[in-house]
Amino acid sequence: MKKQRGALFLFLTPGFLVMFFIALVPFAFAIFMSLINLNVMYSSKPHFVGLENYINLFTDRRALNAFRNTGIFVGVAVGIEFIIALPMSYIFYSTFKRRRMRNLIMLLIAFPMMIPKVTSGLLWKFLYNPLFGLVNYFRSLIGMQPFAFLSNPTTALISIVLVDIWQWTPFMILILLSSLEALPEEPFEAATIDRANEFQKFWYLAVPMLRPIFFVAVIFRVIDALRTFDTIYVMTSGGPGIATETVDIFAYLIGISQGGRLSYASAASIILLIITIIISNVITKYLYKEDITA
Amino acid sequence: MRKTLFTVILVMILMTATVAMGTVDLKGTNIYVAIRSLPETDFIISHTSEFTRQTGIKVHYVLYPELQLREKEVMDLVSGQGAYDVIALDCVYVSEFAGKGWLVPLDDLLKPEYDTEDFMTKVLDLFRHNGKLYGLPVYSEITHLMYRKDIFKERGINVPQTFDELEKVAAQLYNPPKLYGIAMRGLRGDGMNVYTWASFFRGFGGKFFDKDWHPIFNNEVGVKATEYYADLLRKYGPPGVSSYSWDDVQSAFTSGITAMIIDANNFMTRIENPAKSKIVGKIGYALIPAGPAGRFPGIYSMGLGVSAIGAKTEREKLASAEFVQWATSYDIQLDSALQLGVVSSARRSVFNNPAFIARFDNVSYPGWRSSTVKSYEVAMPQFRPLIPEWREFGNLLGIAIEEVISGQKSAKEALDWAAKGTERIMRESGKLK
Repeated sequence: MKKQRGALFLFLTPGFLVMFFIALVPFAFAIFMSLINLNVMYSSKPHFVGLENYINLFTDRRALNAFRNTGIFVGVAVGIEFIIALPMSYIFYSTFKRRRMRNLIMLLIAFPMMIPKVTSGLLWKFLYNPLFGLVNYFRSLIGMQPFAFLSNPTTALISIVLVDIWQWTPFMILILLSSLEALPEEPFEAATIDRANEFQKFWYLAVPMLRPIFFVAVIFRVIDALRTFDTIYVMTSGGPGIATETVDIFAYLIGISQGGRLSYASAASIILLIITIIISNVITKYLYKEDITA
Repeated sequence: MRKTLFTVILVMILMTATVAMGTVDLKGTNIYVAIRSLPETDFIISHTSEFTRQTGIKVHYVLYPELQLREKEVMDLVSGQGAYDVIALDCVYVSEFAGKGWLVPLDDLLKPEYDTEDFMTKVLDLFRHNGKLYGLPVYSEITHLMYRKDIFKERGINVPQTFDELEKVAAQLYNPPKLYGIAMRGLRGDGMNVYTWASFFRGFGGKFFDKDWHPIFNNEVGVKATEYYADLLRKYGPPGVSSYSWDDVQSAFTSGITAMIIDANNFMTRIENPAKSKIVGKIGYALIPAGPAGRFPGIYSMGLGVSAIGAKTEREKLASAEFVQWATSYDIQLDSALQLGVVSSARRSVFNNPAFIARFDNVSYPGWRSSTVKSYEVAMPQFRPLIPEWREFGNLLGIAIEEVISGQKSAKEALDWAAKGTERIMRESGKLK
């Protein structure tokens, strides 16, 4: 037993050390940074300020706006992606029975994902262009005046969300489709014999059986969407005004690109991290656990 | 007797030393230059072999994209690593870099035959901090008014000289979606919308701070100027102008749907290029209109400075200064203008050169040369405050202005918010007690 424990330590140590240096040390440093008032732009000596940065964040309209935008972006984008991807994946699954055909379809729907976010952002920025863009060209065909989607504070964020949906719904479809393929075929055959229609097969068979996978698809997308930086930065860089500033953009701008408020930016990032952890736990609880008990 | 001999020898030694000091042999010195790619700098880079042949100094370039250049330089300077002897220097960084002791003053390093007086005074002033010169201009620009000469002639409209006239003309020509009155920068940023907005802010007589560094740009004058700027763009600008970068301003003009723009004078090379523009030969150039307080064209320059962190030895300093002088010399700037057609020199002698005048003549480019030179004369280098805090609060201002143009906030509300943020910044930096 004692020998075993020694071996256990031996095997765990490298992993622990790696985790310690790449995850825990920077994290601890970020927490430390968020508790002082370091601004690298000016040479005043930083000192310990406790929770002041955190308290300030809750009264700073720009920071609150960033959290709100991140919430809207992630919630709407991932929600709609999931709602589209779930039936789509089943339609592909039931329509294309031949393996070759399905591979081809998978390749086609994966195209948007293969484009780097910067490129797709620029592409869509041009499509949305009020003077030369395709979107406004089609609007002009039905007699509508050109509209600047990205320059209007009410439509800017939602226009970027649409790009995310366009680009990342395929990712969810791929995950769900490959999971559908892994499901046993017998229940579907039995349902066909019982004259169940496609919707019934989808709703009463595919959805319950896919449930554990929902967790994977949603959590991957949530974490990825929380970190969306390139698309937004390229399309609006946070504007008009601060209408599309997410927490990442906000922290980058005030901490690195347009100022030196590293402490304040760290505090914002840590709050975002805490929110992420809470959301992951909630999703795990509702989507994942149920299936284990079922 | 012995004493005399001793003195003579001492004097001789001192003399040799002085002579040697004056002509330090720089042959074989290596210098490293952090720079970004522009037609102007590409020209310098491609001609560096001439410099090496003349002086024996070897030059190594480290190229960074525009957005990364500052970060890389600051990292190098803060860490004390000093990898670069010469750094590309944005004029808005001069006070910050010089204030932190990162730059070598050039005044004593320049050769007597190097004529700094030849540079437009206002441009050179951008590179001064506390009376010392820290950089020499490579790329300079000034804003002026560019208008559709053909439309103006057809409709019998005169070039607007005042803010009132500008608004009147913009309203008169506004006929969407065929033609929009005016386009200027709307996208937030200290070097973006604030750059063109500041001309109006100053024109109305706006001031950024009172004498104790309290921000006062949100007072009546500031609100009035911001409302004027935003209204002009909202009412008579093309759709989406609130997020226009200089790039968008340019294409709104070259596509022929905008009657007037106010932006940099070097737009000329692209808006008069038949491959990129539909309005070649139809453009007139003039000074920006004057406000009640005068004319304040936007002025900007990127130059080269010598890093105090990188060029540590006397030899490196001299070699770096030698390079900076060569790269900003009359020959280089004239050749790049004539061979590449770049018009960003700030040297009077280049603007007065007969070949330059012949190339950018007044028939093809009516008013361009005269309005550029005149604008450089009337410009105020401090039209945006040249202080280290500028980058941070300039960006807050940029947000506020964009919010007003896009209709999210009233000018008062937006500027108050920016002023509150600026007050915090000034407190943090220690200027405001």
